[in-house]
Amino acid sequence: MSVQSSTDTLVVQGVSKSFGSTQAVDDASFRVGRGELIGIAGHNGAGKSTILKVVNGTIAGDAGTVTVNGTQRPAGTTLAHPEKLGVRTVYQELSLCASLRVDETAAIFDHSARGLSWRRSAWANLRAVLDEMFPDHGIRKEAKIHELSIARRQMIECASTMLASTEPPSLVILDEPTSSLDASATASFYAYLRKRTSEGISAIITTHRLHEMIDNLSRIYVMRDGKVISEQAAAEATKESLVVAMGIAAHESEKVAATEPHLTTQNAKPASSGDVIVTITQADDGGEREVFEIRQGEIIGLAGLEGHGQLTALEAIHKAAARKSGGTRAPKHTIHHTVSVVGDAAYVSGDRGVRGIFPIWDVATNISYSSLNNVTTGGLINTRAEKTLVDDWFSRLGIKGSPTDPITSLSGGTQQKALMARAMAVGSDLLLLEDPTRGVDQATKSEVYELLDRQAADGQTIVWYSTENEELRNCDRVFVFRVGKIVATLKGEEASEDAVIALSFGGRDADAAEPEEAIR
Amino acid sequence: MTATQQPQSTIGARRSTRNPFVGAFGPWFLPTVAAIIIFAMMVALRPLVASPTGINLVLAPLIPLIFAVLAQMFIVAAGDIDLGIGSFIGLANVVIAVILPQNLGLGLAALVGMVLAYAAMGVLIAVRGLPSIIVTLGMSFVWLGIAILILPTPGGLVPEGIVAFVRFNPPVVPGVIIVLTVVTVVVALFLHRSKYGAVLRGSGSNSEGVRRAGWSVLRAKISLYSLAGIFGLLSGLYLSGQTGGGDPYIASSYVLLSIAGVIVGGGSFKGGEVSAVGAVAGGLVIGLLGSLLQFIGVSSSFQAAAQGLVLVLVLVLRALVNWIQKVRRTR
Repeated sequence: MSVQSSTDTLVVQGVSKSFGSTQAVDDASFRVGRGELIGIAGHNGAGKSTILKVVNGTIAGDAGTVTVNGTQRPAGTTLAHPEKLGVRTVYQELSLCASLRVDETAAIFDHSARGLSWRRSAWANLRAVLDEMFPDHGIRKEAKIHELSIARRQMIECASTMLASTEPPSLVILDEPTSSLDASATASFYAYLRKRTSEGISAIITTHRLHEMIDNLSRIYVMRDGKVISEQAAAEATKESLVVAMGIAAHESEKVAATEPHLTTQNAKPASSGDVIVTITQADDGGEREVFEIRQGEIIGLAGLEGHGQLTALEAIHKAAARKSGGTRAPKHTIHHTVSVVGDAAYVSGDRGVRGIFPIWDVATNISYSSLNNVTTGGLINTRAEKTLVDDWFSRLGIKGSPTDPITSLSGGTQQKALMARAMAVGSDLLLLEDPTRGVDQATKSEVYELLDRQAADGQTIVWYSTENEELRNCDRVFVFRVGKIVATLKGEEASEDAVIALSFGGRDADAAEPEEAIR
Repeated sequence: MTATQQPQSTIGARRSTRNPFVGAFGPWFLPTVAAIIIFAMMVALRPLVASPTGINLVLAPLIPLIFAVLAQMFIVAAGDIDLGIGSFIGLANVVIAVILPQNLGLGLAALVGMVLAYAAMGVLIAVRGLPSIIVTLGMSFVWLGIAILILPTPGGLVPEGIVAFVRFNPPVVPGVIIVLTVVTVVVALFLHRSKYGAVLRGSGSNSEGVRRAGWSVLRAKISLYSLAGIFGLLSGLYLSGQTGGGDPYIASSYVLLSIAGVIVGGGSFKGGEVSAVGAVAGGLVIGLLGSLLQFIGVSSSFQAAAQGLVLVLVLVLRALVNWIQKVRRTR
């Protein structure tokens, strides 16, 4: 593709952005020509969303420049109103107002709708786009947004970016626009996009559905660890070429040579011969039942693209767990799985601010909270037993400071360790981790891995959902999820990023992808 | 436009969210019915209530409360709660009864300043991200303190003109009905039929979304808080005209009553979810309930509890209606 640089709608040069110790975007450069439809591909946390937010001025980058329609600005500046530059964005988290009617929502986006008939004219404009973009949308103007399904809300968001309004769009950024749309809606959506781009609008799309990109876009940039590492013309790109590009880690130099992930097995057997703790049954494509067993003392990783069923499975395991060690309970059913568990479980959430810590208490109380039953005599807390318990975990975790320090005085990573200590101190049969190392620095991560190894050696079974593929090697086995189902089980040492990425994108990924509403 | 009008019928029939139950019975429906039922019961007990004089006697004392409910409604629309509206109204009452008769210019300046102070409160809450409960609670002591400084014990004399204006009662249609109708229609039209009204409600529901659509969230917050201040002043004006004197504590019960009125009137603490008609009806329900219980002869010791029970009942009914709507929608 040779588009003159003077006709470029967007030029991004050398943009970097780090959050704490995480380098989210690392010296990324790309450009979008006028009337071009390009894609940015990448695995979880590759930096796609971050770079797009720097482009539209939501967050300030650390370095680099962004040029929109010939106007250059440093990436470090934020924009309060990118729409004045003609930049429109659809975010992954939807941004509609739940309490408004559809036509009112249209009017909020459509600044040209004024006067007494503002609702009617805004709705007419939005519906003209909707009817063409999603012929079957079935959205009525009187409906309130909170009454609509996620798919319909997404349709309204997508359509609203194409409204002429007072400042017509020139660059449209679509972050996972089709995640809850079905196949026919997706097809008509891209048809509309292609029509509008032929009229001169440019668009950037990120999606995990690679074939959508290949079929509909002109060029695809591949991001990996915050870097733009590959640029491919969609006509020449294949799913394999994209997956390979996504999988080649710059920091894993020995991997660069291996372009094809070679797996000895995609159906690894349990490593230990202990008792079966968790049984997950799923129906395979032919209707046959597949059984996945997790045995005592195993560390199991749940991998795949975000939102492909790992969390649902983890939560099902938690709900199926018994109250007492060694006990059983009725199995839990999800759309794809039947889960039964022997024994009790403790759960650690990666979302420590919301679901984890008690911010006004000290470290000691935060650790002992879940184990108070074990240190209670006659209905009262035995403070000496509590202290023993807390001191024991303090030394095991190597937390600096005193148990009476407020938990909020610790760093994020240490808070996470305290949370894990709380769950481990219960001494449950099963330990469930929901992305426990999210936003945690490397040193603390290694400590967490060691801790998990020790717990497993002591006979605790660990099921671990992670969005960071690198750390899956610390598991005994890894279950890779795609579209809600387990598609492969890997041995820990074989669970390289390449292998996980290849498996999580493999097959007919998109057509079967579930709209969110189907899960509810 | 006409070309796109055509396919609607087929689309609507295919996969429609059409459900007459959802559209027809907005959040205003239940409180309005409740207010009418309560009023009908009062008429049944004392037929004279339905006469123009009776209507005036029963409804006039509720006008200040209804203005307070509307003031609270704007704050709830912003996703906030105002714990200072009661003492704010008290201060307005004191300013009108003490400063206004002595120095018209100073009095008017003080009233305008009070609205500006409300707007400033909105700025503080929006820009610094402070919890509205704390800010408005703190400011409630400021309003009360200033009012007590101006008028340590109840007294003062409200200007004749204001008294006459507030007690204005034309022969055929009772004055309260005119006031209620005009206020309800104006507020409802602004909040539900004007574009900026939609922006204001949207800002309370999802401020980030409204900002992304190119609107100033700060300006929306300022507008809502200014409106609350203005309606607080109106409430103080009517209280002053009705009582003829000033009292810093006159509206202290309005804080919680106004919140209850908004919620009974179909509002939600989630923000953005308010109804002007519902808020007026909610204020009526709360005010009329007290009178009805008195009519029935419920001993005053039980009245507060009975009033509370009826409010809970209305909310339970509302939850039921919401649940039914949800079930119908998902089917």
